[in-house]
Amino acid sequence: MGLVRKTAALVAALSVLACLMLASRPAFAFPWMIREGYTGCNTCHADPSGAGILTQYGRGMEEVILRMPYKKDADPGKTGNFFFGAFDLPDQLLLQTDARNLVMTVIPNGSPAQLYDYVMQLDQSAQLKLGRFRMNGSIGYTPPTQEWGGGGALAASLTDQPSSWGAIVARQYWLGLDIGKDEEFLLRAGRLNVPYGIRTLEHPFFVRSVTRTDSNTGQEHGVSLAYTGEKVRGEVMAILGNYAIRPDAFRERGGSAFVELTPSTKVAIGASALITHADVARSDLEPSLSASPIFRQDYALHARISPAKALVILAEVDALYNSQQLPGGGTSNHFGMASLLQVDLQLYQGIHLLAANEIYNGHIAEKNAYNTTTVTAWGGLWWFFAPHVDLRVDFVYATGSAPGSTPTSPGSALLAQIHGYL
Amino acid sequence: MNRARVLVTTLSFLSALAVTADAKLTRTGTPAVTFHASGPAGMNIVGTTSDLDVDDQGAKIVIKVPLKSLATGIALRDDHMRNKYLQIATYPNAELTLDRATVHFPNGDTASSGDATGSMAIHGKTKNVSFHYNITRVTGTLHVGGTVHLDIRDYGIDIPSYLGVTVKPEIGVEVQFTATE
Amino acid sequence: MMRSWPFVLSILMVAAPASATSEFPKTIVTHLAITCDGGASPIFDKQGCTICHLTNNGGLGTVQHPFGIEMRKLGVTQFNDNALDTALDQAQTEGLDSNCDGIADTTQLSSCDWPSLVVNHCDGGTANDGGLINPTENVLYGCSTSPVIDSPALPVFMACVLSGTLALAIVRKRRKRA
Repeated sequence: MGLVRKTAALVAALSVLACLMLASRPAFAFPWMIREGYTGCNTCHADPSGAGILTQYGRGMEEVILRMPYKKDADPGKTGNFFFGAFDLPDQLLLQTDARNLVMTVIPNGSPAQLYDYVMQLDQSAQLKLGRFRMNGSIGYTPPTQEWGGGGALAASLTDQPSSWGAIVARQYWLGLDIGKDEEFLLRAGRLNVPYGIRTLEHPFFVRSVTRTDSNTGQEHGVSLAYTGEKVRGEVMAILGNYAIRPDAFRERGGSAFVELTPSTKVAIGASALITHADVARSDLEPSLSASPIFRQDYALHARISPAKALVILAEVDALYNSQQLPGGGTSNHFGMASLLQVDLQLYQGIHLLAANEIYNGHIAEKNAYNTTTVTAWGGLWWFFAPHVDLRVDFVYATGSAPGSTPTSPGSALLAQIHGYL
Repeated sequence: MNRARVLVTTLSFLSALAVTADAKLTRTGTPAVTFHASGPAGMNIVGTTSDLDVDDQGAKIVIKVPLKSLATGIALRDDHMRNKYLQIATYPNAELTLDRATVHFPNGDTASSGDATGSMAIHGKTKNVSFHYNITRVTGTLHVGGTVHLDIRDYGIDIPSYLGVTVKPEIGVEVQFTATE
Repeated sequence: MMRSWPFVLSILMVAAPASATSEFPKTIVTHLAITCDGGASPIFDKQGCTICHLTNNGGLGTVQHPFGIEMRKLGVTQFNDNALDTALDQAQTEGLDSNCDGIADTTQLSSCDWPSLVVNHCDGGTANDGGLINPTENVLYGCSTSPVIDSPALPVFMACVLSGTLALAIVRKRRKRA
């Protein structure tokens, strides 16, 4: 058996193994890259508002400024390329295979610790760009049950979930047209990340989960127009509903938009808005909602600031509102807030210390039991220790959860993730 | 009597101007040189250095910026910029030479600003450029600021391109320094 | 140091079976001291999760059966057996009737009539739910015309296509170089 065949067999075996063992959750999105002066997203990501498949330049930057360097000022060459540069892709084609796994110990207050394993992501993403036209999409697999580390990514399912053998998931798929002299506009149609707030990898953050704008399964079908300039970027989207859920009554339709100003290369300030309507509210996500029509409105202000290269501060505060009256004695509509304050400290290139604080209160205007504030505190260490691989450990303490996020009791959790991509 | 006074005053004024004009500029403090480049769809690159020399030759003033410490915050990018594009081993400096007469220096603790022309030498090529300046005199110290727009193609510098991202050839340069006379 | 990497990675990458919420049916049996059918486990018979979840696979976002929805309202959260114990006590005290058939849920559980709770709606007859809310319909996941994966064929097929494509590309590249 020749070397070539052995290599091919090894690749095949590893891929099959990976496919069977791993599966679905979100992708890249590092809003703290502003420390390097990258205020926008689309030099490194195909999605103009961030997250998802990396551009060729983004892959290079992963190696140059994100990963721990083992040799000073070394040019990564083809190391960052698809499959470590084993074969050259044409400039028009981007490919990326992502695998992410999470081992989590949950310690609810007063209950014994429990160990979990989640296959967070096994996605194959691709983009083909022909002239000004783009085709972009991802497809992945999620195992069937929590016991097998799956059961997630429901709202991004192509095949029916839950099922006995897992599901095929597709977070994004869209057709795009680059417009403008410098292709500063991108018009897209398909299943898209909802343009709203800070686009971050941490999809459970309240500001993402409560507003249903996370990059895990928060995508919606619709049409968007994105603009990226030197001092301003933004995106506006007409939301036509998530066609990965049914019946139609639960699909939210409306629009969302964000704009971000960058007065300097180390400061970005943004605002977002989202307004949707559904014939039936998701009472499964928020028990205080009734199964009747709902208008949902969210408004956010955010900032990304890097006062020194080692330090990046991310902050977002959201005003939440929906049109339903509270049941059982409520005096007003649901009116609440969510906030995020995250600090990223780069101890050394490739090693990040993370801390975050979240606050959620869905009914701040009430004077009853609905008016409850949930707080979380995160601390983590993220190590981009090798080409295409990163390891992350987080400790989270939460006083509860929020609608749309994983329902958890007060307590703490220890999380260890490993992520690799080709 | 009045004529004599006018004459004396005029002579004194002209004399003062001549002294001012002949006084040599000496750079003080820490200067700041910044360039702004941009790439496709919002990409910004900012490079800085605090190396700047002022060579006052009387009728001409030469502002020289050594390029070896020009930095953009990313080591590999700096390496490419200095060695692949600016080729600092051969062309170590950027130099703006201007006629003293084209710049108006403020008298006393006042300020002046305006547009002027000079010749910019980078990468072994020299080209006339227009620049904007502002000078403020505070207790004898001149606070000098200037901006100039350049097209790197005019200086025979290859347009930087890396992994599919190509930087625009037009760049802006800002200079700030203090000097005494 | 480097030798330990494969070990660390293998721990992180291998999907170990979880053991938390999947124990809820067992907790219900224990808490309510259900001993019907001669002591055999009346719920933990491979369908226990459907009391709350859409299917026995469980999973986030699938707690859509009335009893599960009411349990969530009573404070049940993922991983937390204590919260389930408390909620069951409260349901027993209040005579919770999530399926609206006039019989308390805990009574139906204790009498091994748990399949009566596996319903989509509060439409079991005389309701005494005190205004409790049930969804008019369940949220279903997946495109409306898409199939349920009833066999491992599709994921394996996808894995094979991906593996084959990569292997073929490498073989062709190496041959081209040669």
